Amino acid sequence: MKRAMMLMSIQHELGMSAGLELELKPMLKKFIETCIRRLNLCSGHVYLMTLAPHERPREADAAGRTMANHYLGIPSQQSSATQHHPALAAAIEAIYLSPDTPHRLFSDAPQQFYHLFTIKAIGVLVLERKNSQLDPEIVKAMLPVIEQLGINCRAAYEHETMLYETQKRQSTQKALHASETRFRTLLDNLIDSIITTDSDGYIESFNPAASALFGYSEREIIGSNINVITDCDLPRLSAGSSATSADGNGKRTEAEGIRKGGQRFPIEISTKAMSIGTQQLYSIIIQDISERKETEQILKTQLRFAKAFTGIAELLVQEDSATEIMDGVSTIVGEALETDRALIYDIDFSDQYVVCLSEWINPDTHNVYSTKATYPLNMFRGGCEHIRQTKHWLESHANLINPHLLEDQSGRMLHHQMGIKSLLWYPFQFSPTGYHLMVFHQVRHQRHWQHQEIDFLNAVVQHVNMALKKTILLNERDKALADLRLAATAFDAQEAMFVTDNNATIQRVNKAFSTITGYSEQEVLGKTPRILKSGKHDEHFYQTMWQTLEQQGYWRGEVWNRRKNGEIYPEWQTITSVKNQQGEITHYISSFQDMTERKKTEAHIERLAYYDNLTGLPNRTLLLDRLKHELALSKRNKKYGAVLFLDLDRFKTINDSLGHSIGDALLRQVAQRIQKQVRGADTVARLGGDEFVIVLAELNNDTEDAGFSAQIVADKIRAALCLPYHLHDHEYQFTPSIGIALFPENNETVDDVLKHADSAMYQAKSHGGNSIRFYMPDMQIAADERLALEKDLRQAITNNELILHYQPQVDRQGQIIGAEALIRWQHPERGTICPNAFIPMAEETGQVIEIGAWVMQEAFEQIKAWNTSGLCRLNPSFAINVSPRQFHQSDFVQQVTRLIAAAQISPSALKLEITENIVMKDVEDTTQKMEELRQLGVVFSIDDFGTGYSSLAYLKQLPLSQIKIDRSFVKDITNDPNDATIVETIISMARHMKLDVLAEGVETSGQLSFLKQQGCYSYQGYYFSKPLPAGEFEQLLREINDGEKSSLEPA
Amino acid sequence: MNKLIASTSCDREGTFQGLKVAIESAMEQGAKSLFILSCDGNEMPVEQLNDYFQHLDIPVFGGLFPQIISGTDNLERGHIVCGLGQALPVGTISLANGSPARWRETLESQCPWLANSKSVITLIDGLSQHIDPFFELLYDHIGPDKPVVGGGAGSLTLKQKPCLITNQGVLTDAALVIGLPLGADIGIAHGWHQMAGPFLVTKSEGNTIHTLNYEPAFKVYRESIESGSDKRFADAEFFTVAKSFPFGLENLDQEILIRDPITEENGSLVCVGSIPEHAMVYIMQGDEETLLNAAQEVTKSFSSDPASGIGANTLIFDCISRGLYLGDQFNKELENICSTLPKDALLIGALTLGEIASSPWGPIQFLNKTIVLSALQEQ
Repeated sequence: MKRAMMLMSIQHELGMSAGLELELKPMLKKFIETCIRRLNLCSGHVYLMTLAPHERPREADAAGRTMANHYLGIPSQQSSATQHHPALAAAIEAIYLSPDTPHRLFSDAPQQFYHLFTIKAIGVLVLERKNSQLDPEIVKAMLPVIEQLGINCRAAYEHETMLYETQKRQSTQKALHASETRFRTLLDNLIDSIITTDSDGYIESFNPAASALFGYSEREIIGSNINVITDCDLPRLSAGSSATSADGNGKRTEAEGIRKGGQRFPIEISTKAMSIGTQQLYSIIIQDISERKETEQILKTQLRFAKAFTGIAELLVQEDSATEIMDGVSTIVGEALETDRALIYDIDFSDQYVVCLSEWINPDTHNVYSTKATYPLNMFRGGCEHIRQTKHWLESHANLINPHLLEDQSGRMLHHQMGIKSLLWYPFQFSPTGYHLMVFHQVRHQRHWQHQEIDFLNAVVQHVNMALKKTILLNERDKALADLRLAATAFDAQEAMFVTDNNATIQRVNKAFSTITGYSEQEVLGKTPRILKSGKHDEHFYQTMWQTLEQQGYWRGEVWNRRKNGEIYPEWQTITSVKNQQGEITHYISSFQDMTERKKTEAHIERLAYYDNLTGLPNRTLLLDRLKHELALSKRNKKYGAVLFLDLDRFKTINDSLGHSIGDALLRQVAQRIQKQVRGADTVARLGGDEFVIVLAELNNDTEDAGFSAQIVADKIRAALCLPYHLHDHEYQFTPSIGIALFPENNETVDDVLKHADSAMYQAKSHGGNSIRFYMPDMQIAADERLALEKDLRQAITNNELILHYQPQVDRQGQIIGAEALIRWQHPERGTICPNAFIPMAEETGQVIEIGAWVMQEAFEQIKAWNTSGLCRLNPSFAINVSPRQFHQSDFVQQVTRLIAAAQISPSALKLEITENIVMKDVEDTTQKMEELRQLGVVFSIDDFGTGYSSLAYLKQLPLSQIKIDRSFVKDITNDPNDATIVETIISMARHMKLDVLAEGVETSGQLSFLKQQGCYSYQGYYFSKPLPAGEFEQLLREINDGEKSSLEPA
Repeated sequence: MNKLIASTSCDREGTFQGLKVAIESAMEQGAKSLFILSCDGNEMPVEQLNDYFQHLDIPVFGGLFPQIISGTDNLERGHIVCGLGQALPVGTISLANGSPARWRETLESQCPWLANSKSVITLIDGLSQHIDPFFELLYDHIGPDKPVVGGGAGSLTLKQKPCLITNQGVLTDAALVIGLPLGADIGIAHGWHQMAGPFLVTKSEGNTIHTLNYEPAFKVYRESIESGSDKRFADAEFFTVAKSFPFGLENLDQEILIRDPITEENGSLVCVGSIPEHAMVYIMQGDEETLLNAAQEVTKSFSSDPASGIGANTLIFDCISRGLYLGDQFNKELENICSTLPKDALLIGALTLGEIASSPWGPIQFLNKTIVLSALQEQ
């Protein structure tokens, strides 16, 4: 509320300072001064593209602009800033050339922000701020103000031009004609009303804007006195004009305008006296300020409502009696709505009465008397029934009887006698037998209740409902305690009770006991209460209970017990010891209440406090709580998360034009669609209106990867939200704008993260909506880059840009025993791209499945070709990498089988390389698929061994043939004892498991010797050969085949 | 480079003779210009001072304040004379009967050296009617990159009289602008906290608030104070109650600027310093503890590197109404400030009618009930 008030007051003041003046520069200067003061700016400048003719040092250039040559601003010392700041100058020029972009943020130094606003057809406003940029909400609020500023600037500019022309026209007849034509054109095209009068106030000219505003044609009004159209007479106007003639501007006066039909409306008038020859004329500019006045009215109402909310909050804290709460609420709400009488009724359909619970009468009214009474429900049955069914408020007026009240003849008569001109019935606190009704009477005049007033009541009622629920609960508990006191004497109470002897043997139970526990009296007599034990409390709990009983004579507390049907339930239990005259305990009396319903109510209340009623999503409070938690978690685990700030484009227009019920239905669908696109651990919250926030937890420990994951989710959400919505039998389409901020960046707070995401969302909006923007510019670039790459990758297969290279695998004699097929992407612009740069991305986007299938098909066909050419006489095996997504496809085995059959190759020529991650994802599925393929003859190698978290126990179960030692261990085996130990262990383990072992990344003879020494006899790496294009590998095979080569020499 | 403040001497008698001796001593030690802080309570004949300062052959600037500060002492009588190692030029702008255009001309013609200064001290007649427009103009002239500090000189009787020391004599309704060759770290703190609000200033003119939340300002002010404290306006003079409940103007960055209401006129409240229409204000309150804590917070924004020597020479402009509010506890405020400065630091300044400091985002602010420190960056 405080924030809203601040925003509104800023918007209002900036709006006032953008008011029309007769000269352009003073008007702009005043606006800049206000901006600097209200927005905590360091400087403000306007780069003018338009200057009045008498100010033009030279004619504008061909484009009609004199960019950056003319400016005014504060501090003046900085006025030439752009000349030393070419990037800023370029940004100013760029925004001026894109008239549809009203605002841009420019920042090329830390903590230095420039907000650039287009003032249409006038120039660019540059606001400089240190330390932080302007809140997007403020920027949003400024846009209409700056639009108005532009309109007023153009009017002032035209006015200055007109004066200039008028002065000039006295010099020559030709010029006179030209200036008259121009003067007329200007007047005709102005959107502000401009009128000239003679010294007695008789109208001499009246432009079309004035005609439109007042409803008089020029012909009708010329010659009439100015007081026909305003209550502000010429003496008052001319006094204003002369009072400030020193600075060239007339005084601005607020007055009432009078339209042709007599309708009055608020206006602002600026007047300037001018002499043409010997004639004294007055130039008058008139502006309709109805909108401004309305804003003031809204502000006043908001202040009243804010005060009322404070009052209600205090009331609900201080009072716990429903009567006091009702009295307070009717007073506070009656005052806030400035109504004449406010009442709260209890409508009870079971006893057929309408009981007045409280009444407030406006002390400022006369002849409004108390109507506090109880009425038969029949007097108001029609209206009350209607509300009961619709749960909706209704209003009625003296001359417009609400159709639902028509049947209430006696009620209408009563209203008539009370002199009620308008009434509003607002229901709340519905129960099965009725509800409460706030009733507002307007006696002095008729009144139509406004949307914001109904919203206010809605909010009040939500607070009151919660407070009343709490009050009811408290009252229930008090009642329970009172019942417990009565229990000793009144056993047949509604509460469950049982009596035991001093050995805790049950001697008696009442009906309520049987109802709650499910045990009949016969079933429990002679047993101990242990039969009810749920096992949820430990021994210490019962020890404390007995100890308290002994010391204080009673114990009370919450106990979880078990019903006969096994259900565990909470109960509020009191146990009292009964003593004989000697002071010895003879019995224990226990009474308890089933708290199941109460727990549910509490949960419901909690739900109200933490969840959004409309969508069921977490609300702002819960979001902040979760985000705080995620932020802490991300910092501890060093993993980045992301906040997505989402806002529907044009939602307000839709809501206003289609109605709130459609708007609400839309928001519910939006909420559901978003939820479907995120993981269970992520939070989707609704902040209010059409603003949603999604927290994506612990995405990645690399910023770029986290950003990319967030982008993918955001894109999925955007796509889901763009699908058509079926609302009330019609189909609609909407788009969202999404801002993304990653966290943790620095030591930012939850508010900072939200602000960043909001700011990014605002940027998305300012890019025309239906888009996604990152808060960090670097991240945006990286995301764009990856998106472009992803897009290209989709085309890569069809464009034949993917190829396979083959890296030989050799034995200890250097003889080729096989090769690993390695994918390369020949990008037409970026050149060759290594798999590391695109496979992880393909894995994330799912493209890896298509790529994997292509790799197998391509490799199989190549093997077939080499087989056919007789190059595979030594039966080399070809290793092919399989990605987790590909492997876990349900038809993976069938795919491989089909491709082998199609290529007519021997399955034993294939070695599928899988990673530990594949295994760990689903051990059972992995084992089954491997087994099926092994039976076919395909062998398996485990790739990158040692880098994952695979358990030996699992590996033992797998039908593996080979372990590949990851290159990261091989790299330093000669100088890092740790790596050497790991490699030794892997080799030894493989030997024990009777598995082959192959070392990847062998690059030096030292590494080779070490591996040989440890018993590893298969190798792959640059020491022998780099991965070769198919042709080169084929040549190698041919040379070996032809006996030209027997083994691979170190490369 | 020699230290800017080459010598200081403090005379606690407040006699003309004492002032002369201190000035001569500074000149003997090689002072090239003089900065003088003097008490309004010294009651020295203005003509005598005029004659003396007009005949001084080195630049002099300073003011007569309600009280002056030397270390942990605040004095109601006396002088502090600082001999400066450089001849600092002084711009003197007469605010009476002038217009911003005239002031601008004076600044441009008298103070070309401002462009090369690293920070600025400004002293102003604290009872001038032109304070806000002058500081708007000064900011417009010097821009956001030079820290500005200073204070309002004048008498606690709130009667306007000569209070600014220059080579032309002691002036009324004027402002002095002095450019320093050193940068400065500025610390600002007040220690007041919100008691009621926010209220929207719905009608105001200059330093007078007519309505708050569209209701008469005094009505809203009185009701808030009387419902939130045991103070009653019917029991005491307006200022006796109001001094404990200043207004706080909240800005966009949630910073609070304090404004003292000094009198009530026909339901409106007259404050020290302007209150713009549409501002959001709170009614503030404080107690000795929060005010004294603020004194410890004020050096927070200084450079934290002890080696930088920041704080060794520090100017203080503290509000006289804090002094009056804290009474005997005011020395504690000075002790708290000194405790955060380096050992043996020089702390001199005045209890002023309004404090002046650059805001964190640029423009110059006229403050009330606030402590402003300026630590000269000697190194």
